[in-house]
Amino acid sequence: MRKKTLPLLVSLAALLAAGAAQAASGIPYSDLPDWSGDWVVQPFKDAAPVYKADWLEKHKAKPGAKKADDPIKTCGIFAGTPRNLGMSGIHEWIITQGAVRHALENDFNSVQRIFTDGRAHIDADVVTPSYTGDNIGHWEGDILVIDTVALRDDTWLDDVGHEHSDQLHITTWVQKLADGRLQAQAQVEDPVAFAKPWTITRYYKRLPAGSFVHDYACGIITSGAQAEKIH
Amino acid sequence: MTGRCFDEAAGLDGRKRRTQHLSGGALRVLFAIAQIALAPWCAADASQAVGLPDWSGSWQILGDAENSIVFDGASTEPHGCNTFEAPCREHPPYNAQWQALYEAQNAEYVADTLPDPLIHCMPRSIPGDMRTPDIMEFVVRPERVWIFIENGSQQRHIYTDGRGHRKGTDGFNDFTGDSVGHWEADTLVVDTVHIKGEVLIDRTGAMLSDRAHIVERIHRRDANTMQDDFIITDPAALTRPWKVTRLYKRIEGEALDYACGESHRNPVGSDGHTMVLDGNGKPL
Repeated sequence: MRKKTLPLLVSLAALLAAGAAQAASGIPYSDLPDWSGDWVVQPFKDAAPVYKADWLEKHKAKPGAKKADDPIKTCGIFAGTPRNLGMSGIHEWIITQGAVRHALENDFNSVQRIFTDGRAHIDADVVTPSYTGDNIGHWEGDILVIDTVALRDDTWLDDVGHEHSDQLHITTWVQKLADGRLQAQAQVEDPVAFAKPWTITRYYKRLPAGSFVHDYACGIITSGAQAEKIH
Repeated sequence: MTGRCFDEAAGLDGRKRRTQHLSGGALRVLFAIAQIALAPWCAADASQAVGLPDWSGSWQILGDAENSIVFDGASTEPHGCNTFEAPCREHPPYNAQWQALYEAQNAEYVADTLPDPLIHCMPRSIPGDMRTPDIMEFVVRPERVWIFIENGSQQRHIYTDGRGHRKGTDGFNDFTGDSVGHWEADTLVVDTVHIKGEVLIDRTGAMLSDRAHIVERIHRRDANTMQDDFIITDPAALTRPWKVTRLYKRIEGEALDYACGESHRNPVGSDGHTMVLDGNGKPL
């Protein structure tokens, strides 16, 4: 009888290993894609957006804008979507049932919340435009497709100061490649400012196991009376 | 324990002859392993499923706005107590030196000259970040648990992948500390060290040292309440462990962007930092 018991125990142990981690409603985490870990963006170079001539003239979009004008120079202002895709530091893509959270170590701890529970966008009449936007998503196999609207118009699209209107609509496809990298490809549409959609691609490499996310404390003041007050 | 799903899946239904040849102890082990392993597939036995709990949704600290400025406002009864009315609140069990420091800080708070770190978009550290207003999220995955704090905004990372605390050059103190955790049934036990000391953890002037060690037991008390039981030890500042309970109630809505650098009513200096003004409008 021992000979027959052992295979049973082995098979049960295998089931235990596979089923040990389970999402709340009963869907095993093993059924969701595994994008766990700490990801850092690899160097990238984008083509410039192609603007409509009249918008360009009116808004004086400034390639090569001075860093002093960069809105994120003020501690506590987010870069927003889609500039968040290219920020330095760790990116986490946190997949749970019903949502994916794109959380940044940089960018003042911004969290881009992408709801995959089937909800629609917030009514355009009542939504408040934000830095990260109103993001809903769905899975096409193991590819996350994100639809983003309701973005503020006072963010930069990138580090060089390309601007946009309040009518941004972004579709982003995020997937894990066969070589283990994550890829995010965003199609940025702006019917008011752009002559045609602007497409950008980002690749992320996973840090070794044991990596950790640092604090973000841009508010540290290092000298003067205020520094003493804040400790 | 032995529902139909279990028996069918384990192939043990009706096979009494086989099980009779196992010892009682081995049989109990076998059943325990099978129960755990097969639970995800046994919808009928979902109540016995071993897995990660459902902490989804948006949560907000319990306790009225006035008391929530004190770290343990959620557990203070009756409401409206002053910091120094000791029987009325869970006063940090400070030693004499830190009590004196606390009283000095509190005097500044009373005089309106003790700025909340958030004015400078600074984190409040742990446990300060766990008593903020606005929305908290407790996001659970097998390898990590995140606490996303809308007010700030702040992120806590609790590593449940079996790692220990940071060592060597990685063992520095920072605002959110070094948190590792493990599950005991549906309770997350969090162990945090490496917290930056002498950071205001509330607006009354309370602080801890950089030797603080915080153990939390977090669980969902009922459908609409999360509970975080803290045991804070601090050999430099406290004479005994300080036990505090915080409760968070479920609310509707989602966390929004919190851009603390936006819409400052105080002037912003040339270095990008908001200035704190005294009662005469002069920068502190």
